[in-house]
Amino acid sequence: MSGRAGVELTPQVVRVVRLAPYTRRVAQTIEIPWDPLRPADAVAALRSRAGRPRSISLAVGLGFLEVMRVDLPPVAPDERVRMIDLEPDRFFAAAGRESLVTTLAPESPIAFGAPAALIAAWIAAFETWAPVDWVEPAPIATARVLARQRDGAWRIEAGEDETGVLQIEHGRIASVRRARDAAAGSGARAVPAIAATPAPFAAALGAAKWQPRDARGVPSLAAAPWRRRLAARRRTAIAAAAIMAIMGIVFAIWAADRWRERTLAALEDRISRIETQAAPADTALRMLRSREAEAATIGDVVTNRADPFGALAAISAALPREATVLSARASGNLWQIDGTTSDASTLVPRLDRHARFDSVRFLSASSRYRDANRSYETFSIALRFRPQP
Amino acid sequence: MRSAFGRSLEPRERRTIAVGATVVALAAVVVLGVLPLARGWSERESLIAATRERLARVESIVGREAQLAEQTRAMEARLDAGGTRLVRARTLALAASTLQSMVREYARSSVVSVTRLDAAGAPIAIGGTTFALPATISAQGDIYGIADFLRRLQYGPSLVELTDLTIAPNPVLRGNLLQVSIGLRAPIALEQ
Repeated sequence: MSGRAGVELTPQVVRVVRLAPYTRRVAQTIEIPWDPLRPADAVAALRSRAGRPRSISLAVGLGFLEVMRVDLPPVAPDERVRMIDLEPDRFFAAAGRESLVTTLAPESPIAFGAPAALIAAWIAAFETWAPVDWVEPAPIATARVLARQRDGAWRIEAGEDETGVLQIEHGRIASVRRARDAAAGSGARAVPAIAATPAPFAAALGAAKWQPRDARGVPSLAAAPWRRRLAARRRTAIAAAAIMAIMGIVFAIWAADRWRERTLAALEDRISRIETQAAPADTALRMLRSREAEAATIGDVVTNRADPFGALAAISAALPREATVLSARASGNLWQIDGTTSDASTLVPRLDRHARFDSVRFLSASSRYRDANRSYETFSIALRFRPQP
Repeated sequence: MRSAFGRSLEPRERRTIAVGATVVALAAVVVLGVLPLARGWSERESLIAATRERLARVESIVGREAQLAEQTRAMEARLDAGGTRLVRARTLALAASTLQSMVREYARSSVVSVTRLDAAGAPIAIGGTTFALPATISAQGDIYGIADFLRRLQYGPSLVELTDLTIAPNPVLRGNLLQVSIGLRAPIALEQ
């Protein structure tokens, strides 16, 4: 499929630059003479030489254009164009003679007008070749490719025996003039060749390279119904592209989903085949793991468990012979012992000296009493037993 | 587009409605489409990862049953040599029953009278997949019997962890009999 084509329409010739589909490099340049009043002949000739491009951008030559610097309120570009359309004869002298379609240069006060009937006829003719998605003044298209060069005055093609001058400042169109005096363009430079594209095709190249973002809110140089049709076509194209993109994403997700499902099924199939062979080894492995877990548990519990048997033995050994333990209570390694002895005050220092006890302290007051001519004292002592000294 | 009041909608109103409809549609797509898909995808990826791991494990042991059996025997011998093993049973109930029998046997050997034995508590996780059965014992005996009973519990062939202990004389009983309450946990190994 052919790529996009830019078409410059001058009073004498039609120039076409066709871009390659994906690389957007210039694939073909064509120049043919034409009669602006019989565009169908030119379209037939172009069709036979270039085939059918994907879409067309038209650049209307300066020879067909009325140019005016307008001073309008700072509103959106389409609103400013609407103001011009409301009273075109206020801005363009030709508007009194014939109906004009108008537009503005992007981010510039330069307005362009062109005969509405001619533009409509050209669009209709070129639509038989390929969809026309944009119509703009040729100076704008030229400025698009020249903006990469540098600012300044450039000599551009205008009407017969006329000279056109395009002034670019800071990458924007500052002025566009057409003059019958050849000296008017004396200070301007000739438009250079853009890469391998000859200089006369600069406007067609600029038109071919047009992208929607280049409009910057400025409407096309065409009548309102066509602009609406173009907007609707663009919306349809965007919607179709969005639907295709969504379908593509959905399909990709579906494909990925199937792929993962197949992966899982293949894994399960493989594991079900191999598990039969591995059953004896699996049983042996389970037993081994079980024994390893048992060994780990035993090691862990034996290392950390409390040792009440050892604690009782240590307490018995540490207490003096005359001490009597009436009750002992343990929670883990924390012990509480209650009993009687002849001198309770010696117990805490005695137990505290023991290597396997710490945090030794009295829990309650000691009471003294006599029994069979002997004095006794009660004690209630808390301590912590160290299982491994 | 006309409003419910019969007048044409302003462009701003149309835009608002369009934005609202878009937001609702996006939310519906996310909630009804994207999130369930993502959840299902994540679960399946986990399943694939687990299956791969299982397959790798199974593949690594095919044909090694003799070697694994030998390792198991060696490990078994090592455990036996240690003198202490876990209570082993097919189910928790059987393990509890084994624990009860063991305690009764220790008590009989130590000449201690067990007045209450409760091994019906819920098992306690003691790390990983290992569980321990809790039990409480109330018993009576003289100081020597109770000491022997404690020694058997602590150092017997089945691993037991004594958690609580209370020893006190029982004034109701004659002689030198003591009342003892013991709380313990017995780690168990469930046979597969």
